[in-house]
Amino acid sequence: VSPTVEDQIRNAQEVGTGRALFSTDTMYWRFQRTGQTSFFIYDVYMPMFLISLCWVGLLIAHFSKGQRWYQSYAPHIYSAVHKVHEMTLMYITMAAIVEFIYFEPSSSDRIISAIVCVVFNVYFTIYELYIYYDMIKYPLAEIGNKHYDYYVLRYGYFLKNIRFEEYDVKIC
Amino acid sequence: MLIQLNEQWSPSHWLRPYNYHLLSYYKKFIMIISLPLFYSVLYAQMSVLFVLQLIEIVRFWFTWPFVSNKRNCFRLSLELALLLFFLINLIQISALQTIMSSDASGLEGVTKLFYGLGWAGFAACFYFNISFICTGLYDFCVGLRVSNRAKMDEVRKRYYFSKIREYEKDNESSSKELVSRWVKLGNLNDKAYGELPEINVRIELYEFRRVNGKFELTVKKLTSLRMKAKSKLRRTNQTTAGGKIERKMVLSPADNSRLYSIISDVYQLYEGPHVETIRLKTFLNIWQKDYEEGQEIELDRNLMFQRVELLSYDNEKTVQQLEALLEDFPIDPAVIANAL
Repeated sequence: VSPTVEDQIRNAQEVGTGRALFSTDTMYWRFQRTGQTSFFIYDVYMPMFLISLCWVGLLIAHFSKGQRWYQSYAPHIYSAVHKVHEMTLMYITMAAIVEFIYFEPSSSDRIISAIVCVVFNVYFTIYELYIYYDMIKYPLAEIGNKHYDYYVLRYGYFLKNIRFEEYDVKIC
Repeated sequence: MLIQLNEQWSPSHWLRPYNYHLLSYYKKFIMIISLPLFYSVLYAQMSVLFVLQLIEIVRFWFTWPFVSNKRNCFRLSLELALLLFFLINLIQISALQTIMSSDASGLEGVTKLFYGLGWAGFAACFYFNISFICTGLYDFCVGLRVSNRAKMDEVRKRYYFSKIREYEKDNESSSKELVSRWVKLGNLNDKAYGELPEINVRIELYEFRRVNGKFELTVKKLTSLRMKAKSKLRRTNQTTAGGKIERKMVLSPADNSRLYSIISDVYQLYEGPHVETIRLKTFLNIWQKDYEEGQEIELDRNLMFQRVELLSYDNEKTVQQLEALLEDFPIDPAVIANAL
């Protein structure tokens, strides 16, 4: 049974933190049983599964470069990878952060949550940095050259609706 | 770290349209980091998020990243919705402070404000999230019909086309070199680049109708097919006919009993009270990139399919795609040659 709003406010006033306004009993009970809060269970497991699937797709694409289907289907695989990463980024990092905030500073659970959060953030940072640096040569891409084909195949998902501008760029 | 290698860096690099999506990640990243960092400082967390979102909107305004202005305006409205959401949260924190520091009685106005703003924040948040889902679905559906390459090509084509038009407007005599460079960069003459696509080439066409026990027959048939030599103006179809048969004839059993019986069998399959003319087409599916320049293409029956078009007396056309190739097709050129 959830406490009344008045009880929640009174409790929050007593402990002096807004956190007490939220009923966290069930979440803590779930954490004791499963090792994770509901934030983590609902928001992270499915995205993690999807990211794993993306890596399977990327491996298949990597080892199928000479295959007949590669040119037709590889852009779809790369688009799916970017889409899944875009969707899961917010869920995973937010879930990890919320879990991090949820625990008291003295709790060792908070450290575990912090590590989980850092691991995911590092993964996403590496992923985005890789694309950022891979994209540096994009101004050299002209219709018909190998750079253009590369960017269409790999990053068509990002670039398809983007405005085009010319840049006077020379990359050594 | 967020610079372009080997270029003199300037803030304009962050305002390049092609970097828009990637740099949005760093906004999210900083936002997420700020959540725990400023969690324990009253107002700080939401204020930081508000400021970051404000900077993002400024970046969006100067980048104006999308080709379509409608999409730009829509995306801007989403960014503004998120800004509004953070603002609402800031006011709610203030309302919460009032609730926390007062007696439970006499808080009706603040509580109403708190709930009202909660609903407004809910609406802003849902507009933001649902719109992203809808945009994603829309892009997915468009993506089923138009490839990323076609879209990217089109963007460049439009860019260089307008560039040429503006140049011609401003200059009476145009520089041929400059214009041809822009034509090349925008692919305004529709050259086919990249790997050659899979194509279907029509290798046979028989159009016939029955008149007094005979068939008025038109034959168009390729007897051999090969890949073209490299050309500056390459098109999607790089094949060329090695040999062709093109004839019109009146076919009777006496002229060529074999060809007559083949055509007659097809006629019997599709004849009807309204059918005047039957047109039978045979296509060959070709993976062009499997062939070298000038190489002969094998007319493999397993890679062929047929389509029948039935034309009525009042020129109505019915098209049927056949599941399997009709027997005796493709017709041996020698059989046709006997009738000529």
